[in-house]
Amino acid sequence: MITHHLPVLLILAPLLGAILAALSRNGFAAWLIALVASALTAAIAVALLWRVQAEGVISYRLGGWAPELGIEYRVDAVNALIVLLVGVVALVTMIFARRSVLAEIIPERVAWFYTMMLLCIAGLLGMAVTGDAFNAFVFLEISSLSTYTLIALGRDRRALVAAYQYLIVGTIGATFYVIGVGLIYLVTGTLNLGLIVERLGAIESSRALIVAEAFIVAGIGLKLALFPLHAWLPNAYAYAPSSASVLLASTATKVAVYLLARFLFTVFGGDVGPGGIPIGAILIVLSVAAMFLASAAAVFQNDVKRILAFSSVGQIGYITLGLALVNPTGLTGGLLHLFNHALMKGAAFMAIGAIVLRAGTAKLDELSGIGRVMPWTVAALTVAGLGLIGVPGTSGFVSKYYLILGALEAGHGWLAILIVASSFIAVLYVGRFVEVMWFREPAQAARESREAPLEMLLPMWVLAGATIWFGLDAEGPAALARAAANALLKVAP
Amino acid sequence: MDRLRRLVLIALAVVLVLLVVADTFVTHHASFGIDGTPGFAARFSLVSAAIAVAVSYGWGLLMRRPGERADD
Amino acid sequence: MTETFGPLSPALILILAGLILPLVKGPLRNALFLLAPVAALALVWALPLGPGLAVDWLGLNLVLIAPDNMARIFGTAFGIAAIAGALFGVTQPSATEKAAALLYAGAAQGIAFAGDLVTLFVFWEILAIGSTLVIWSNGHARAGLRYALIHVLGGVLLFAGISAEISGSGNVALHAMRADTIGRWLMLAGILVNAGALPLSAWVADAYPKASWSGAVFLSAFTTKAAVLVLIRLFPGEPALTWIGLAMAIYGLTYALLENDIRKLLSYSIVGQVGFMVVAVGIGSPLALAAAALHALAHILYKSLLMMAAGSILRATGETRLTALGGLARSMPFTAVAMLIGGFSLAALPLTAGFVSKSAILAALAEGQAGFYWFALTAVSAGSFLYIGLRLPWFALFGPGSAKVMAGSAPSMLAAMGLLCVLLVVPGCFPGLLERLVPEIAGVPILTADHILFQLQMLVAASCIFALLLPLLRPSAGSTLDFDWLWRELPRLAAPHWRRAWALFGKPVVGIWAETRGRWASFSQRSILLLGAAGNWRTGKIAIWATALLAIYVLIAAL
Repeated sequence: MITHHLPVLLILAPLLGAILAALSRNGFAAWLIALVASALTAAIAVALLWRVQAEGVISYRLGGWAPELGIEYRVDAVNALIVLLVGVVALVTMIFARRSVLAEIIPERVAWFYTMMLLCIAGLLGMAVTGDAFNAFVFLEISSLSTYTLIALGRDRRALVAAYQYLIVGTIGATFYVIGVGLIYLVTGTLNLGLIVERLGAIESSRALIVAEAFIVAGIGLKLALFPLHAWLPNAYAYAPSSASVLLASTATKVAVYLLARFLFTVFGGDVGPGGIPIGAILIVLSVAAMFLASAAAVFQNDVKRILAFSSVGQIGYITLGLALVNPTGLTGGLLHLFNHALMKGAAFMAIGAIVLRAGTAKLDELSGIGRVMPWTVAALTVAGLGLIGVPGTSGFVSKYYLILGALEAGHGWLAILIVASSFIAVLYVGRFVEVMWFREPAQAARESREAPLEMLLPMWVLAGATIWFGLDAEGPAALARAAANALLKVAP
Repeated sequence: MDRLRRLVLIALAVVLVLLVVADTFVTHHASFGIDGTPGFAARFSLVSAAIAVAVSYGWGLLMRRPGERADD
Repeated sequence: MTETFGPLSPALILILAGLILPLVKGPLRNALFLLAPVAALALVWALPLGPGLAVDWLGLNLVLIAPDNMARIFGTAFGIAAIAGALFGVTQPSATEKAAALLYAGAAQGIAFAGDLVTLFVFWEILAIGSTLVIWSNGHARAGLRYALIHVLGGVLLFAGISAEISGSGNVALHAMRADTIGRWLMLAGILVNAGALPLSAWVADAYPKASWSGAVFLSAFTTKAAVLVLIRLFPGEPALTWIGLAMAIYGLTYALLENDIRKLLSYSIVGQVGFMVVAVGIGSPLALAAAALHALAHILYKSLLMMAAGSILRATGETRLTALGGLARSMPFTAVAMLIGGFSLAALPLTAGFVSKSAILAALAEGQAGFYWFALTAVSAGSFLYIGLRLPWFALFGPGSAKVMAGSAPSMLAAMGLLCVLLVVPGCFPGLLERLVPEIAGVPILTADHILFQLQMLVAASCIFALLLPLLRPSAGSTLDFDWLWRELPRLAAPHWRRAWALFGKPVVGIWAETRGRWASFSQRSILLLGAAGNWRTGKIAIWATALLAIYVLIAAL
């Protein structure tokens, strides 16, 4: 019986956890609640994936209302993968967060921090499982509002500015999205994604739809930091509390990518756009620009968190490139990179969080030789960096390999070359912090530090280990991503 | 030619002659005919070693440069 | 086998040991350095012959460990070389060299046991990295860089060839082929770079003598012979290899006869001896391939021994030039004996392992009725005795002049040389031991009366020529021009001419150039500032971009 309600339990677990955490008012109790809630979430996510693999698409009607009137949660191979990602990352982040939060957040606000983390997780999971366009907006707002708060909880004063900027930008994005959804509702008279698809077939004029698609793509593009709408992201990630950065970098943009993919492929059709709009071409141009320009910007940063943040913008470029290729292999590569990038970026942000905890700074020039005193932490960061480059033996290589195959399959040999060429920029920024952290003489900050505590190293190495493991044994996630890509493109596996 | 070298040379020549004589008493398993004739190895080696020395000496005259390489 | 050993392979043991080695100190480090090669050799023999360990990776069927008899022969050779080299170099203080040497030996084992092109390429690159580090750890940055660049070139050729092969045939397995497509030619070229074939052969004599007294022992054993193994696996019977190999043999002989520096002489000699193996691979019959493998084994043993002797001399006197040495037989008797045994083995004196392997190669040529190559290699063989068995010992050990011995050899060094002496002489006296390892050579006549007499006549006749023409063979200080003149000296010589030409025609270009450069500088500075500050945009700017994107989108859609 309870398995029937899995989709809604997935949201309820973090949502109720958030309420309990808020009521508890006690930092440790809130952490414990958050840990239990996210462990439950992860378990439900695994169970959901398992059910989807066994039974196919799961449709859950909230309150038993028919999709025309009520809200439908719909889980298929695509969002099962996203849900699994969010659930697992949420759990390891909570394990990691305790020490980091103690050091970075004012004690009275710790309980609020966990409340916001859980709300954010609930919002992201809701965006992932819902099959209702407006319900997705509600969850988008829940996750966004909690994200603004999370960023503002950062102890750096610039965090406030960053949060404020993100608030404005995020609101613009959400408004665009809701305008787009409104236009769709005008044309089709429904908010359920499945019904929209059915009714779109009968629509004669596509003018309103074109505008709707434009608004939705631009709106979600802001949330997923599609180049050049990315400018809010570096400051937000850099000044947010470390454990919030981990969660946001690994999941927030990924769920937005999922939503974009859902609209582009499922709603507006596999050829990306009604009336043959060359949105694929636009997306390819923006993706390539992100791969090169954002990565190049990462090279010139001094704050390691900002390096990683710009790197995220660049890596999102690879993911959206996978979407823009519109063939099963390319889309598999994109989704696989979404998954792999979440794991390695999570590991990287955890490592820098541990470094901030011990050395008190994330500035590269103050972190000379930190690898000598925190070898395990910096090793995890290095592994993640190798993954970002796409070195064979890491998961980053596998996803880029699929992307290259996809580009060749689409007949864009030059894109394959650009993918390889842009990876060399990653060599530059990764090489920079690797060189400083391992090979320079230890600076003041390094001499006064010591290795991170085990409770931070463990989750960090779970993600870093996964980066290596999925690089060597590529089949597992690749199979999930391929199933998801087939589901999105509606091809028989 | 100093004395020691001359002595060594004569001794080696004597040994070589003895080896060639011994070579006439064993059964040969030739692969190409000529290599089965008695004393073939001695003749062939004398010629080829001399050629090797001559070639390398000549090559040295052409290609040998005093001093170390500039970028070592 | 996967049930018993899993992914455990000689390569894995050595590479892991190499990675761990810098982290441990003192006696533990030395123990690791000595025991890892022993464990690897034990595993070479413990792995049962069979299909090996295959994994599926990105749709490619990779065979990480493929133990067959050829892998075992080369694994044994590499294993013995690693053990002896480690024993010889255990007193070497440089941890970098030790770690790199283990990495290097592990990569060679990995190549020996690789069952597919991708695995082969991975170990091929580790091999290049390990060997470069061995050279670099002795402080010769420029020579190390030249070495690395040559091997990058070889690696790129091989990679391009492998990519073409996989995309062409979809087959990653190692299998015998002919160089009949561009991809395969590229592969062959990449392998030949590592084998030391002309015209890029000069890297051997350039790089190996730059290593430390202990590092050169490792270098002499692995890279070229691993390339021979890959030739055996991929290009057996490739006609081009016979004349390439013969050219290498003649080149090695000529340059070794001229060389003054002992270790450089030995390096040229490596190219010459590898030439013998390459000719045998070009013949391609089962006997010829077995003989090539056997010769690689014997060559690894005696060349390691000779490099050890040279290393001992270098360590004791600080000198390896024949013009500065002489009379060492009295002060370093043990090293002198080792050098003689190694040299006689190279010259195929009966009762040494070299006699067995060279007999096998010549028998394979005779069997294949390759008369021209048989006579040519027999002649080169007679010449080889001149430089290795006569000229080198005479001027280093016996001749006039006496080098000052400042430090004695460590017992570990003597033990390593003693071990190799035994390993050369025992199989030489009992060729049956080698026949068990390489069954194909069973029919080759080795210790028969006519064959022994044949070889003795060859050696004594060559000695007569040596005594007769000694003045022509006297070493002289200096260096012999080689193909590497093209990339080491030509650019330097051409530079002044280039500058003069530039002064004539370049003036008008310069103005434009300077202006472009100025513009580029300011542009790049501005972009760097812009990129560095990216992310500190005003909120309004982001909103404008979002609106612009929206507008563009709608515009394109409406058109």
